[in-house]
Amino acid sequence: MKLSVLEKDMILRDNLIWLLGAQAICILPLLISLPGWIWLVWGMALLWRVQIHRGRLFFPPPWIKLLLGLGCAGGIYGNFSGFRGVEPMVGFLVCAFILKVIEMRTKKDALIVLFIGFIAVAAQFLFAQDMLAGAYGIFSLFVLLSAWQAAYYSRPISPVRHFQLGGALVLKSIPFMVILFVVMPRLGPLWAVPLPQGKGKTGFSDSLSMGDLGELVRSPDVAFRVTFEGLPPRVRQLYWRGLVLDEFDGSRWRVGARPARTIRQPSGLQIDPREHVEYSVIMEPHHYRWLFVLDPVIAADSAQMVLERDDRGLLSALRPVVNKVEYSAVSLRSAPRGQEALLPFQTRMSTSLPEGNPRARALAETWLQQERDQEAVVSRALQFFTGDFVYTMQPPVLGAADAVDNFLFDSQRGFCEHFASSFVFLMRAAGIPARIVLGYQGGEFNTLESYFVVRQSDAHAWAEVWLEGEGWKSVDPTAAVVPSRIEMGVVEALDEDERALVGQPRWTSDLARALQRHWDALGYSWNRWVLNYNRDNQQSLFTRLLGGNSAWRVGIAFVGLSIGLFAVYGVAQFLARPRLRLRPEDQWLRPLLRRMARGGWRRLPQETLGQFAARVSSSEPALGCQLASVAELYAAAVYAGDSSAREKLRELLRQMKWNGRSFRMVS
Amino acid sequence: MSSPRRVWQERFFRWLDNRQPRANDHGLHRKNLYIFPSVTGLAYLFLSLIVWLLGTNYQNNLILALAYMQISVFVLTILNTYHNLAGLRVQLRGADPGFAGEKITFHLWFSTTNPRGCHYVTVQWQDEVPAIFDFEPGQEHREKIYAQSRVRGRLRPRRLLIQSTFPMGLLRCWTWLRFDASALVYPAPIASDMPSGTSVGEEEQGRHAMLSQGDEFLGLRGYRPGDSLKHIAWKQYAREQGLLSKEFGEFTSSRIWLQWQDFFRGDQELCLSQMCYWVLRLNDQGSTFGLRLPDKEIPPASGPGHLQAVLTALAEFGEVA
Repeated sequence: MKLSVLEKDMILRDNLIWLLGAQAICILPLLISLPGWIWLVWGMALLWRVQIHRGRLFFPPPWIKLLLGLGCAGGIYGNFSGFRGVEPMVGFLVCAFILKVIEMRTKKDALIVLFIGFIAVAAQFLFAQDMLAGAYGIFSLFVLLSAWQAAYYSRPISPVRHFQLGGALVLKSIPFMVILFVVMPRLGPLWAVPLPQGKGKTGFSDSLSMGDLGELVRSPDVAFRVTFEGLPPRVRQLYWRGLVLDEFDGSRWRVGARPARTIRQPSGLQIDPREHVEYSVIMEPHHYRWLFVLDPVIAADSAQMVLERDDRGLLSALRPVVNKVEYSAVSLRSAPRGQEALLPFQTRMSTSLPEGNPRARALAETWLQQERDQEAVVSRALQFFTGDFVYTMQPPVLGAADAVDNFLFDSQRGFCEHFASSFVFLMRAAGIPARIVLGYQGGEFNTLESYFVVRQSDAHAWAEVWLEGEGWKSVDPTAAVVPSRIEMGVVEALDEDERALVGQPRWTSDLARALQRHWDALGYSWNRWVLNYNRDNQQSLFTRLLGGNSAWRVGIAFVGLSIGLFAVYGVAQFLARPRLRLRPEDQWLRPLLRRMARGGWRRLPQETLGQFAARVSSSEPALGCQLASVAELYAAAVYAGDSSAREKLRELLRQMKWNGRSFRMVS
Repeated sequence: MSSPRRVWQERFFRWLDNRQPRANDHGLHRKNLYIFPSVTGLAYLFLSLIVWLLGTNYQNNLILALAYMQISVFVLTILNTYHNLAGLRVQLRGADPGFAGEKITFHLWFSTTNPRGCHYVTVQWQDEVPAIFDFEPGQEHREKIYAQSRVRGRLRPRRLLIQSTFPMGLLRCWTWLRFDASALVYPAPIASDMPSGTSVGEEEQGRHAMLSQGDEFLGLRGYRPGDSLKHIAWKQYAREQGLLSKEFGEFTSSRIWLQWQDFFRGDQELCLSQMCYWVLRLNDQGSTFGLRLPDKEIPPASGPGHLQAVLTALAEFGEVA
C-alpha cells in the first residue's frame, strides 16, 4: 500500500474515535472535581469535531477559538476566584485538552492531544493515589498508547489489534518502569508548588463546640493507619493527640497561638522497647497541618514533610497535609513525672474563663473548699460525672448562654466533647489549669498486615489538667461516664438504637467483612511500599539487597538488571518468531535438491522445478528427465491438489537415491 | 539548505561509502540501520521531564512512576522502531528511461522477513520526494521510486534513503543505501522546424520529406509535452479516450536522415532536443528515418527497437564511454 505524503498526515475516522475515547478516559476523573460547565464545553467540542468529520461544520476560525479560550479562562476565574492553586490549573489543562480537539486536523495535532493526555493522567494522581487510582492511571495510559500507535498505521486496524498493541507496550514497559522507580535517586521538592484543595477538609476543625464530634463520628472514613514497631500499647492507651484547645469564649473552644519549632529525629536515640514505643503513621489527607501522636512524643521524622513540634507536645506539618503522607514517631510508654512549672502567662491562659455558667462555678467553688488538694478536686469531678449522665450521639441542643450549666444540671445527655469541655470548665473554675485535647481514641487492629485503622468514628475529645509536681496529665471524663467507650470503642458505649449512627463499615456477611479487611490490608501495603517509597526506604532497600548503598553498587545493579530485562525480551522475541512453514511436498523435495546442489546442480531462486529440470536436461538429459517427472508430480500435487499424485510423488522421492551423478531407483 | 548540515551530511556520506559497497541487493540489519530520537521524540522526553518535575515537587510517587513509565515506553520504542525496519530486503531491478525534466522510474523490489511486516516506511532517493509504503511479510512488493531528471544523459541517483518512525514517531530509524543505479535520460523534445534541404535520403533523391505545419490532417497521435494546445483533440478527450493531438502536415517521403550538422546552431543540447522532437514525430508517423551524429550513425529504419536505439544514441551523445 502506498500513500501520498499528504494522506499520511490525515487523521482517519478510526483514529479520531480512539483519540476522543482516550481523551474521555483521561479527563473523566478530573471532570468530577471541576465545575459542571466544563462538561458542557466538552460535549460541545465533541459534537463540533464529529460534525467537522462528517463535513457539516468547518474548523473554527481564529476569533472563535480566541473567544472559546477566553470564555473558559473567565469561567475558571469565576469558579475559583483566581488562577492560583491546583484546581484552576487542572481546569485550564482540561479546557485546553478539550478545545484542542476542535482544531485537530493532522497527526501533529493528534500528537499534541496525546501529550496533553499524559499530563492529564499525572493530574489524576494529584487528586487520588490509592490502588484504584493507580489501576485507572495504567488503564488511561493503555488507551492513550493504543490510540497513539494506531495513528501510525496507514490503514484502519481492528479494535482487537489496537488493544494488543497498547497492551503489549504497557505490559512490556512495566518491568523497566519498576526498575527505574526503585533505582532512580529521589530528590526533595525543587520549588514550592500550589497544593490541591481537594474535596474539602476532613476530620475536626481547629475549634470545638458541643455537638461537633457527634456529627463527625457518623463518618466511616479512615483518618490514619498505624504500625507499631514491637509490642503495641493497649487499645485504651491509644490517645492520639492532634490539637490542644485552650481558649474558651463561652460557646467555642479554640487553639491559642504558640510558637513552634522544627524538629528532626534526634541522632543517636537508643530505642528501648520497654520504655519507648515506635510507630509509623500513614495519614489520609485532611488538609490541616496537625498530625497525631501518642503523648509524650520525643522524636518524629518524615521523608515527605517538614515537621514541627511545639511545647504542648503536638506534632504538625509545615504545610497542610493534602496527600497521603507517612511519618514515624517515638513516644514514651509512660509520662515522666516532675515537669517544670508553668509560666505565669501559661497559668493565666489555662485558667481563664468568660462570664457565665454560675452554677458550674459554684459547684467548683464548693469542691475547692471541701477537698485538700487539686488531685482530689479532679477525682471529685470525675466522680460527679459517674452520676446520671448519659452518653449519646444525639444530645439535646443547648442554649448559647450558660451552655455548661445547662448540660451539667439540666440535660445531662452528651457526647465526649460535652464531658471534656464541661470538665475543663469546672477545673478552670476551681483554679486548676486545664485544656481540651482533640484527637482520636483507639483503633481497629488488622491482623493481616498488623496495623491499626483509626477512623473518623474514633474521634474523641478529652482533657488535660496541670497538677503541681506532675505536670500536664490526661484525664478522660468520658471514661468516667462510660468506661466501655475506651475499652471497647464507641459502638459498644452507645445504646442499641444509636449504634447504627456510628460511621462503621457495615457488612452483610462475614465474607464481605473478610474481603474488606483484605482490601484494606492490600491498600495499606500499597501505601507503605509504593506511595511512601522514599529516599530512606530506598537506601535501606539498597543496603539490604546490595550490601551497601554506594553509587557504584546501585549503578552496576541498574545496568545489570536493565541488560538482563532486555535480554529476556530479545530471547522471547527470538523464540516467538514465526518459522517458515514449508509445504510437506517441499519438505520431501529438500533432501533431493540438497544432494543435487552438492553435485553441482543448484536450483536458482527464481526457477520453478520444471524450468530447473529443463535446464538440467540441456546438459544431462537423463537426470533432467528424472527431475521432470518429479516436477510433473509436484505440480499436480501442489497446484491441482491431486492426492494420488501426492502419494506417487512421495513414493518416487523415497525410491530415488543419489549416486553422485544421477539418481538410481531402488524399490 | 543550511550549509553546516550539508557539510556534516557529506562527511557522514564519505564515512558511509567506506563502509558500504555499491550493490543492487541490500538487506537492512543492525550494521546499516541508524536510529535517533525525532523531534517528536525529543518533545516526548521533555514531556517526561515535566511529569518527573511534577512528581518530584509534589513528592507524588505515582506521578514519578508515570514519568518512568514514559521513559520505559521510549526505550521499548527504540527496539520496536528498529525491529520494524530490520529484515527488510531491497533490490534494484532496473529503471525506465525517460525524457529530461521528467520523473524517472526506478523499479525496486521489497520483501521482509519480519513476521509483523514493515510499516510506514518512507522511501526516497536523496533530495527527492518521498513515498510511503507498508510491506507485508511473505510477499514481494514491486514498487516504483521516482527521481527527477534534469539533464540529458545518465541519471545516477546517489543514495536511497529508507526511513521509518513507526510505531510511535518517537524515533527515526533510517539507512542510506548505495545502489548501482542508472537510468537513461533522453533529451527533452523541443519543437522546431525541420531544417531545410537536409532531410533527403540519398537513395530517394527528388522526393521531399518536408513535414511541417501543413494543413492536411494526418491523424491522431498520443499527446506529448510540447504539443500546441490548439492541436489537442478535445472531442476525443471529452469521450475519455485520453489526451490526443491532431497532427497536420504534408504527407511526404518516409525515408529521412536526421543529421547533426543540419540542426546544430551552436547549442549542442538544443540541437539534441530538437532532433529528439523530430525523432518522436517521425516515429509517430511511422516514417523510416536515420540518424547521423558526429560520432555515430544509425541507418534508416523504423519500429520501437529503432526508436529506442536512436533515442539512446541521443541520450548518450558525448558520453565518455
